[in-house]
Amino acid sequence: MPTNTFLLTAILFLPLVGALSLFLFPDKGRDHFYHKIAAFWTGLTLILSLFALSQYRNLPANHAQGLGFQLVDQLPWIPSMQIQYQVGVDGLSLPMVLLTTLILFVAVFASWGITERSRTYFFMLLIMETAVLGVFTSLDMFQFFVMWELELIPMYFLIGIWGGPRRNYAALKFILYTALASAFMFVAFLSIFFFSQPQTFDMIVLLKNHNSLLASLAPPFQMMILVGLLLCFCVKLPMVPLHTWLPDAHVEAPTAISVILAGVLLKMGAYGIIRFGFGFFPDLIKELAVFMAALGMLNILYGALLALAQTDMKRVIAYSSVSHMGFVLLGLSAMNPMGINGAVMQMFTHGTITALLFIFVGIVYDRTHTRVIADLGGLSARMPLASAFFVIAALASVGAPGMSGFVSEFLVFAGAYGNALKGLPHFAIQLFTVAAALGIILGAGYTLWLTQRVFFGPLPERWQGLGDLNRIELFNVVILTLLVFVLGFFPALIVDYINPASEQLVSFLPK
Amino acid sequence: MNMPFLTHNAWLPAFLPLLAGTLIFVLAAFQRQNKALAMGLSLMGTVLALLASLGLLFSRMTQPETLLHGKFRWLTTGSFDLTIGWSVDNLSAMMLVVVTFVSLLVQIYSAEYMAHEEGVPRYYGALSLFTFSMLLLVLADNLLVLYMGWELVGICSYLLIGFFTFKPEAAAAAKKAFIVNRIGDFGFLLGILILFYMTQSLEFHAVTEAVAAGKLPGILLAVACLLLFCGPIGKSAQFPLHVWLPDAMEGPTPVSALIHAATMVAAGVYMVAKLMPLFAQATSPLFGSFLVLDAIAWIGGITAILAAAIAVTQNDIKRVLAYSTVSQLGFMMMAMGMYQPVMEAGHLHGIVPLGYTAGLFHLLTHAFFKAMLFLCSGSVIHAVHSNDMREMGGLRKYMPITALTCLIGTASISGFPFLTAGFWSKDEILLSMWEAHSPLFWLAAIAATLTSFYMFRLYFMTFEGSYRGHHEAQSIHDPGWLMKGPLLILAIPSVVAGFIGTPWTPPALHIHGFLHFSGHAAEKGHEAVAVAGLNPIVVGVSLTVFLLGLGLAWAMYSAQPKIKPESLAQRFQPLYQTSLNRFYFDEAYLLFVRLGVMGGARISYFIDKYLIDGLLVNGVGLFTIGSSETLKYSQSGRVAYYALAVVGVLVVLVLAFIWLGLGKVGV
Repeated sequence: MPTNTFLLTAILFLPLVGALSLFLFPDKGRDHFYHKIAAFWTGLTLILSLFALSQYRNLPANHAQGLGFQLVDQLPWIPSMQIQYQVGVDGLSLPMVLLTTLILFVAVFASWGITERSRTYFFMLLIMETAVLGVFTSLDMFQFFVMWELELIPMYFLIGIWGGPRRNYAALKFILYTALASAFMFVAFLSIFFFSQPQTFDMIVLLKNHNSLLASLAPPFQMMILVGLLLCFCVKLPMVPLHTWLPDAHVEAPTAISVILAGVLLKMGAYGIIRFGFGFFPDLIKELAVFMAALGMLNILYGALLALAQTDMKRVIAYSSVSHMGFVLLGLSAMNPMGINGAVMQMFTHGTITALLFIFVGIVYDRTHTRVIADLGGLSARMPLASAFFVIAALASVGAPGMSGFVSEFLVFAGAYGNALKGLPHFAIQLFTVAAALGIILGAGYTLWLTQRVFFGPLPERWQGLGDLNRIELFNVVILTLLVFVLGFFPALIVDYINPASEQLVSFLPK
Repeated sequence: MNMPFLTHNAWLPAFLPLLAGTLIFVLAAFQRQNKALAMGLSLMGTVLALLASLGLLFSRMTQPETLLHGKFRWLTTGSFDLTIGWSVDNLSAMMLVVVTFVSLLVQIYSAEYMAHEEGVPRYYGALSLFTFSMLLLVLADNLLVLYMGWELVGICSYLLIGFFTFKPEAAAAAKKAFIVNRIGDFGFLLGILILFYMTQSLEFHAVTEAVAAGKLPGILLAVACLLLFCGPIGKSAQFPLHVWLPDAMEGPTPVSALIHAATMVAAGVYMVAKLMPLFAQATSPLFGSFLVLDAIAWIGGITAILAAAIAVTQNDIKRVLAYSTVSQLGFMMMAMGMYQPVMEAGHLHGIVPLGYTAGLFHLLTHAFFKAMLFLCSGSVIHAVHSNDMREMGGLRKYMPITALTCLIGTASISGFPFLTAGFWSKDEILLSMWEAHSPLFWLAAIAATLTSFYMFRLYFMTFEGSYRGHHEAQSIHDPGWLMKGPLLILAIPSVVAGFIGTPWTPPALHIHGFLHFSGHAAEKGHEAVAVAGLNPIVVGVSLTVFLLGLGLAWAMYSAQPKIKPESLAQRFQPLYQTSLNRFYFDEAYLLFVRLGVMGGARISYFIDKYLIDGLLVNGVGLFTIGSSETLKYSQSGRVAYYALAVVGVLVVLVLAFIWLGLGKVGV
């Protein structure tokens, strides 16, 4: 067993330490005092995660040695129940850890306008960072579940306290949806524990023994448990028709929370599908490939159509998230490395691009106090820099080459079209891929139409006094934009990490 | 420039404008509105790219055995490497020079034309990026890079059409151009997916080889080729996706000259030529005996005649030129689709393209004279502050240089015999159609008549007769040298570029020697039929249609018209209205978008809001825990307690386990 480095443990608990540290300092009304503390801790976490990246060795996954998991920390926790504290990253979770630490860092700056109860706000935010990082790094099922549930609580309060007019409804809907869905996960995890050999929550052991998971159950029951588990993750993704909590949560949440929600939290669902669905049940998941492709296509097209019908800027972006997360499902349905690489890269890409778009919604809302598209227009005259960056973000969102969205979309399409299935399912997925590709037209439609109606045309009299980006906004926007370009030009920078993990997942799948 | 360095780094022409464009945008973000700096960087990038391109063309002409290609790994998926590959063959070398040459002239012209506009750095930045994208497309060695360049030129076009952000028409036109192009790109992408999947390769050469080895069933190859051709239908504004190009005229006129006349819209023709080894193998009949090349030819034919029929009634000078561009691109496509079947034992064995060189020849000459015509229209618009030809007239007196260059361009595009470039390239196209025994020959002749008519109509309405505008006539004059210079420079190739394709041209300089098709069928021993030379019938038709169009335009639009256009319009009212309203394509598409797409969107939203969310989600909520939206307000307390209970139980669970765990660890 490798020795603990405690690097991931440090990354995981730094935000928690930061959250507690907020209470060391009394509120004396100093200017953005808690904002700066939060920026410090999230910044430190980001730096540490970059250090972890530098420590990660980009090797082909090795079945014998912990399946490609690196930087593993392992401590006993509840030995009587085979529960332990275990964290580690592979090519699948490492990009997600980096995405989380980056988006949370950015989110602190996107929260600069939060003045009410800022200490509690950042306390929640930092707790949430630990929880989300815990989801991506946990290698113990029980610990995973705890982290998954822990994320709900701060999110509930962040929407419910700092949200818009209908915040109570949105927060409740969010928590009920997710909490009910996690009941399925709870049942599934317990079943895996009780009906598998060996009885353990250790995910590395379980992954290695994926052939004997639930072996004492009849196949239909196995399938039921998998579907229940996937249902839980698909609520988070969100998958149509389990998506209706998302637009409400987005519209009511403050800007930074929308950024985190779209940027990171949705990826937990996708991550769960891959880690548990593919890792634990490769035989069963392959039978579901056609459904995943069909639902992915539905997400892409239905989400895009809904985005077209919106009159609120934030809702357009929210539904575009539904559409873009469909690419993840479609890519996963390919059951080949290209599709999975595309799906994981899409998770990262969507995280950065949608975060950018939500930041812009916030920027516009902060100045105009409206998100109704019909009230806006011509803003580029007063906000040239903002509109230039928004156009970049919009083009990234429609999958322009040179930006990261193009790479992931191409990989998803090419992967799904060349899917690893045989016979009728093979052709069915090809057909769904062709239909899903219509999304590139609809996507251009709603994105550029939004751009046109908000930023172009004549400037209404009442927006004459608007100012362009301030330094903090510019900082946020530049970081994310740069990342989008760098990964668009040099996708190997991220795909080289993902690919070994994808190849390993594919090697689990039945031929 | 050091030749071995250049031949090893054939990507340089594309890289330099990319560097310039990036620098301009980064500088513009920090230091606003430094016009001179932006112009300088942009021009420098393009000049260097032009020099590099000339070097590469020279290398192709003198050392054809030196291969100019390379690649780098973009990403690895599974064990497959996706690469960014480039290569320069004769065709791409020619295109490199055309693109950088026209781009340079347009940028010089813009220095004066755009001098008083806001946002000049953004303009030059986008022009540089466009030049990069177009060169990337030209240099592409595989389908992925081609597609990337293809999308990028579309994006730069979007940015430049919408350059005047405050103009609602410009913003709408930019969006329309992008979306219409995306429809074509949808097909293009699917074609790539099919080929990639079936051949496990993206490189042109490897794909062609795999296809030749029979990796694709015939009908699938035909479908893939047709899907690929959807790209050019969008990008080259072919029927039925031609509707975006006339609207694109909302962009600055120099942009129209570069992107929407000379280079980007020709990319479709370039793509068909580049993939001709593939298209020529798609010999599996589609319906009855229809081949992919037939589809290309007929789409081109319909486009050529349709656009010409619209151009004859338009009054906006730029729109006449736009429809003329659409029509000329149709000519090129028609030529691309001309072939001679190779029969073996009574079966179609293969096809030999006949109009390949002719189409590319016309692409070359058209790039020069159409760019010049657009720049002419730019200086006219600059002078009279109107696009409407009814408010022009008699301008030859005030702007002699512009009038002269416009006349040269008009003569060239109309096919003024023997002296102009347009005559020779159009003659080649007609000749290829004649040789192919295509019925499209007569359609092309009619379209050519209309070309001659509407172009001389444009010239007469603008420069002859008396001035009808509102702008002070005495203040109208030729532009300064920065605008006049590019006009005069472009006038030269508009005349002499044709001389590389005459029957008397020495073979070493002849375009047929430089750009002949050497595809699969040709390699198999079926020599490509040389279509150089004068065919008396074809030349006769060329002359007739030129004179017919000129005569008619003279009769209707000269200083003393013999036929009143108004009375003709009265007489053929339905025809006139149909042409004037562009055959109602825009109206039909708008109806489809309103009813079909937006209708679908609204229905989806209704389903989402009232069925999924209203009935199911809130209904389930009401049924189980009473959390429907209506109950929320009356019983909000209960629901909140429920949520708190859920959270509370979780917290207790978590704490209990942590406490348990900590106990075991012994902390």
